[in-house]
Amino acid sequence: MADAATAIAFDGTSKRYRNGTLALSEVSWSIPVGARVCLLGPNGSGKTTSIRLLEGALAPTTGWVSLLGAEVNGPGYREARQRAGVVPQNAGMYTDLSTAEYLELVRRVYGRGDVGRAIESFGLGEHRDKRLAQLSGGFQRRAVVAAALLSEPELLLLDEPTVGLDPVAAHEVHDYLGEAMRGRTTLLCTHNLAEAEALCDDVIILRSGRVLLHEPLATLRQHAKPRARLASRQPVDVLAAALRARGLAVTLQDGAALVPIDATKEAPDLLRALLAQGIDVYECTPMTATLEDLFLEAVQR
Amino acid sequence: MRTSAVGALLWKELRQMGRNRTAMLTATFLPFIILFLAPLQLIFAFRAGGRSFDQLRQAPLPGFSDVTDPAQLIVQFVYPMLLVFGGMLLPSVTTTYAIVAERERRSLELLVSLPVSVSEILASKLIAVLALTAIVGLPYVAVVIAVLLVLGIADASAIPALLAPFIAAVACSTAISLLLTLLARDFRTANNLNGVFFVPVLFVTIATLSAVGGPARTYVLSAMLLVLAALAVLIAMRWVTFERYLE
Repeated sequence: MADAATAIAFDGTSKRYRNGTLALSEVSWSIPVGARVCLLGPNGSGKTTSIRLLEGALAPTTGWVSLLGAEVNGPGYREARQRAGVVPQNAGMYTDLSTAEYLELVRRVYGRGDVGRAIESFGLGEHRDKRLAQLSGGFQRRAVVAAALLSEPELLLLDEPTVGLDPVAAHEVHDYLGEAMRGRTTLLCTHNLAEAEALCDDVIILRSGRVLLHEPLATLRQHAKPRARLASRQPVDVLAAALRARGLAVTLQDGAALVPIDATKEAPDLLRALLAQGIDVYECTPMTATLEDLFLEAVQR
Repeated sequence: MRTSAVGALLWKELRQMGRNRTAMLTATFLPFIILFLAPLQLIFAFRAGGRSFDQLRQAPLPGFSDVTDPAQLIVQFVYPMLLVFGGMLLPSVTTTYAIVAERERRSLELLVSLPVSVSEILASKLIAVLALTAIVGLPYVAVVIAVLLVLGIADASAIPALLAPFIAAVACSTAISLLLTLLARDFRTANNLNGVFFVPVLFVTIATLSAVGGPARTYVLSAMLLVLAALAVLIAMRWVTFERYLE
């Protein structure tokens, strides 16, 4: 069983649905109190199932899951659950409850919270008496985030909080989340790698119900192969051919060539050679691997 | 199950139910006809019938050899049958809607994201349906029983004997609707399944009222309906569960 310093733990946890789908296969991972972790994975990798197991809405087929030191649906779980806020994935909205009524429901369930303050903090004042289903996507998501934070929870479970939102609305929700996650243990499930990168410190990558990787983002970056981006006045094909002739693997991206070199060490010699060859290279930028690169690398491994 | 959580969810259910025109219309219109107009028409027809009921005294209905008084036939058979009929119809649509709607509009996600258990969610819905049924149905039943008492057709012992099958029918209908709704994929299928199940329950009602003699008829029928209700709830909560809605 997890100790008090462990916020979330999965131990040998499997979940097989009634239709036979194996959503999680003997996964074991844990995150400490205070950590901000993103759970990444392609569709069907087991992210939402993990959240639902933590919510207590589903029961594991084998193994166990714990939340804030209490086994899910075991002794002490209800108290632990009262200390956690959840933003569900793309939930449907009530056509017969207003924003204020929905938040009042949440306040009653948690037994604490200030609805008026939440409405004000999340800029929902003009929409407090509108039915939830009548709000725009961005305001609906704001209402759900406000509900998750209403009780001032110690832990946040965020399941795809910005999926389906336009960039402006997603940016607004990010701002609220960035503020809300400060000082709180957070598990963020997302497809949006930029979102994960901006909001989290650690990453867990799931694939087909198994944990592929669980590392701090910084460590993951250290493993990443350095790359450089080169651009020349000549067509990119000419540049790519010259690079390939020197034995480099080239990836074309937006009219430039990406090559797996450590720019600080290898670029001077490479640039001299290319210029001598008559290729007018005007850009050579060291590339920091994005989470997307690291994710694709891990998933393809 | 925590009463505070059920109370909070019940607050939501009652608010939503009051705003649902279909549920309110079903809950008020059908009971008005079955539980109020039909029995009153029957009672006044009986009062006007006079000597034409002598035929009943000479040739009782099959299974009702002990019933030679038309007043007894109303109190022990016809009106209890209407009570079961109304009690079965009254909560089924509302129960189905309360559960299926959460799934169809995907608001179930919002509910399970709160610190409440599946049994607390279902309990609040069932209590809300029963409350609505009681508010709408019981006044009709009370008026009809009062008319029976005032006109001397029934005595005070008929009050529990008539309330029992109504309450049992409401409980049975709510429980069966819960089970069938959890099994069904959508609102229409759930309603169709409810309709299919309604017929055998009515046959059981008529058979029980015919087979059991004397004033115990309605109590035996009530007990059977309550057993059916308990079985349906047990199967729904233990084996069917809400989980299929989240898969």
